[in-house]
Amino acid sequence: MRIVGIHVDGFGKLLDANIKFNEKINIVYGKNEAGKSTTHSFIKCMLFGLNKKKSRANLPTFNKFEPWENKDIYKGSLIFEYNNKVYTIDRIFNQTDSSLSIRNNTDNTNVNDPSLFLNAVLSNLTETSFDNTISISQLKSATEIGMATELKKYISNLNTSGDLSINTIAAIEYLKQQRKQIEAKQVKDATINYTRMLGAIKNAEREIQDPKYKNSLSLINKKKQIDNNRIKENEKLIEKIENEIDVSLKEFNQNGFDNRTDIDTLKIEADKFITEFHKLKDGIRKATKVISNIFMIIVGFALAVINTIFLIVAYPKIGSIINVYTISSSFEKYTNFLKIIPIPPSVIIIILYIVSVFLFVSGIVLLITNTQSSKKLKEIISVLSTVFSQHIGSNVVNAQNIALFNNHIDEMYALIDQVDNKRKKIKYIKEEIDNLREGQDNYLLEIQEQQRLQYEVEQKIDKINQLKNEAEKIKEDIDLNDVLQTEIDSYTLSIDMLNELSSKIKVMFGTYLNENASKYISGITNGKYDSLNVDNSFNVTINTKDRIVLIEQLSSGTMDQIYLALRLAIADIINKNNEPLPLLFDDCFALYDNERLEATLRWLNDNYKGQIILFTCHTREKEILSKLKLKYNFVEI
Amino acid sequence: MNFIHVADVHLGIVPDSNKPWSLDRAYDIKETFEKVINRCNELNCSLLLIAGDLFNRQPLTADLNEINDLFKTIPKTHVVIVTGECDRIKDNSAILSYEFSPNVHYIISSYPTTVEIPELNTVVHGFSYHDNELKRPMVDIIENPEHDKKIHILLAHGGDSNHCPIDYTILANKNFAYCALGHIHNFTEVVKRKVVYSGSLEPLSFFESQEHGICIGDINPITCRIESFRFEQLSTVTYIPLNIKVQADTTNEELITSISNEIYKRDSANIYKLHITGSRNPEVKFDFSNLSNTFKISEIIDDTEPLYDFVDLSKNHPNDMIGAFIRSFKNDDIENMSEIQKKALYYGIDALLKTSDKRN
Repeated sequence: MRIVGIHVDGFGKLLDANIKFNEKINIVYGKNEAGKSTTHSFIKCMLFGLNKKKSRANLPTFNKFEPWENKDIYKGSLIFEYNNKVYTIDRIFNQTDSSLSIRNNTDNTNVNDPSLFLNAVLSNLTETSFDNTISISQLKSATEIGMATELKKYISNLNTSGDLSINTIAAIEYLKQQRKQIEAKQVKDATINYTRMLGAIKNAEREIQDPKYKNSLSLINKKKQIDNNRIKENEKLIEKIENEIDVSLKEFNQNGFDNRTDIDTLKIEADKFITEFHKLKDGIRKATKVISNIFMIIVGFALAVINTIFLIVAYPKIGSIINVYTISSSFEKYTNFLKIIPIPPSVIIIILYIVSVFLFVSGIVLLITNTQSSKKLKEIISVLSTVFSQHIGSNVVNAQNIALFNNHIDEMYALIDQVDNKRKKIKYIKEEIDNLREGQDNYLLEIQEQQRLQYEVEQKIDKINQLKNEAEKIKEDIDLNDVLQTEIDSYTLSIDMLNELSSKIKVMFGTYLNENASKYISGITNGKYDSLNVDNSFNVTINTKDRIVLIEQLSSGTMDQIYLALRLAIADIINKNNEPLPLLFDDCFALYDNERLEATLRWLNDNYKGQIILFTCHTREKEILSKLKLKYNFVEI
Repeated sequence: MNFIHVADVHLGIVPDSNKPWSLDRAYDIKETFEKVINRCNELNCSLLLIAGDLFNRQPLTADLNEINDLFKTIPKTHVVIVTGECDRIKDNSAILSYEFSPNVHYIISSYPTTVEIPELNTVVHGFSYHDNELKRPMVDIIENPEHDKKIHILLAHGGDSNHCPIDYTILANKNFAYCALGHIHNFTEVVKRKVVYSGSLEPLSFFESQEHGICIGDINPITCRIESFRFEQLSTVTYIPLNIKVQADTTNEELITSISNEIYKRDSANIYKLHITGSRNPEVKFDFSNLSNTFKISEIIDDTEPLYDFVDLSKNHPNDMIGAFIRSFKNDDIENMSEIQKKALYYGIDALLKTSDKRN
């Protein structure tokens, strides 16, 4: 692309200016303040416009180039040649009606979509790139160190992004900052806390599995209730038995007894009497006994009488004593048989006397005893009959009643036995009740203990519930963290990708740049400097045939040349697929000495295929070009 | 014989636990349960069926005291409760020795048992959980009640493979006048007016964004069939997901205002989840902090994509970082990229464009 000419209606101090350019070298000469920079800016504004939607870059504000004279004619046109066709760019810079139109003069048509077309013409050059490549000014800094630093920055930026306007390092920093902000939103240690919490919960839950915490309260209460009922039953039973005992005792007492000993006494006495009775009765019952007693007396007496007779007979002498002689003779016959008996008659008589006496006496004795027994019997009967009437309701003393009485006594014994048994039973029952009562107390203690354990376990369960709630909260935080983590990972991926690409571009581009720039440096310095090298730390070294020089060691003039070489190299790269763009030099050779300037100008003429426009306030360039017999166009403003 | 069927109250739960309204929600649940008791009173309900998970965790004596006090206020209503896996009965449960008010029948058995209520001519069949899982299809093996002119009601908790799997066809054919089920948190009539999940009383998460409340029914004591049945909403708050689409020219203020309006339309007391989609101006970054401070916003998913024309950018930056960066995301088709890749691309381009022309 080649600028044919410009027409300024109103731009800064320029008013109705026209400049024509030729296809090779053009010198725009003007003293200071003549408007060279304004013209340069005008060209730039024609190519890139003044107002942009995006306000990112350091663009001149709308007002900067408002025409000093007449604000209404803030516009102009630029004619250029591209792909063998001539176009005119018309721009109006008024804020209210700024416009861009491009006319295809060759085909006499208007270009549709002028901005897009212009973009293509300019090889997608942005304004920043323009400022840093084909629009060449002196290095901005004055001091040498400043220059070196700037050059370095320039190179490093170029190296890492392949485009001067892109600042990969800043982009990466920006991403890191964003990432840090999100990392700050994450809840710290959430996962660790969650695991810890789960562990605590697990432990606590294990604790409450202890069988001692089993809730057996209702079981114990049931048991206690059962035993309590038993106690009550037993108490009722005791009452019942005591009633029975009372009844028995009443009966007992009614019979005149207070206790067993009373019965014993009665029984012993009664037995005595009864035995006596039986004895006596038996003795008296023999009615024939009396008869036999009397008989015995009679027989005894009779025998005594007979015996006396015998005596008298046997011993008449005794008879004569008692004067019973006569009797004896009559009885003699009777006693004769006695003489038959071999036993001497005296013996018989004695025996008989003994017998008779014995019979007599015994008869009398028995009769007396009989009478005495009768009396005693009567006494006994009366005693017994009182006893009997008291105890069996009948005062008749007979075998039946004796039996009844004995039954009665047995019954009484039975009764008192019963009472004793019942009393024993009551004792047993009371013991059982005591045991049960003790058991009740134990149950109470057990219940207390259970309640204490229940309270304890409820505390623990409550704690567990709290922990579980906490854990849920932390879980939600973990989920939040995970969501944020996706963001963080995205940033990390972006950063990593940029870093990776950056190195790649560095490698790829850096080599290319190095090669290209070396070519230009060598050319510009006429072989004095061979090549350029930029390492990973952006240390720039310039190589001569024999040594390597750090860029800081160079003079400002040389640095300037290197700067130029770099720009040319970059412009080359940008223009790869297109017609070369015009180079605009804005007063940049001030620091060059004549020799250097000559070499540069010659080299430029020989090696740059595109248009060159030199803005200068010196005449040196003109003179050198004339000296070198090189064609040029001279414009003075 | 009118009844109220409620389930999955989860007393004690603190939903949305890391959000500022979590304790309010926990309190809401308590209040709404009290509302249920009030309804019992107002409607002179004969029977209150609680189908499991009344508590969110094992209840303590204090918890039982609270609900027992409530039940004491409705002495004419018979309350039948079964437990679910959340409030299951353990060896050390306070329930084992707790004396409830006489109108409360807390079913403790883990095997199907019955609660006879002669004055209502009703028999309630049910069982409670003693374990966290119940793989036996209990409901299927419950004996079919006899046709004895009594009202038979099933009260059960379950319905998925680990919690009492239920074959609803088998269940529908059993002689139950009504099956009051719990465990599924959204109101579902599996068999219309017969086999019903009343759903949780209050919604507990965004998966439960429908209406929540209780089932009220009336069974004719002679025919033993349901005569009327309805669902009544009692919940205080609803979870509402909102989808918002932005345009390329939507500003932050416009978006915030539009969301606020949508929220006010649907009552700002509810809990919202925002899903924002669409293409936005790459320079606009949405800031939702004001929204989060004013309303109850549980989650904001910003799926908006900056409107970069990557093809164009790639073409215009053939040799530099921007072009290389775009091309490095191997899938040219932006739809097929993973979430992280997409975001990495956007953030990278955003950073590069933001920092370009800033010479260091």
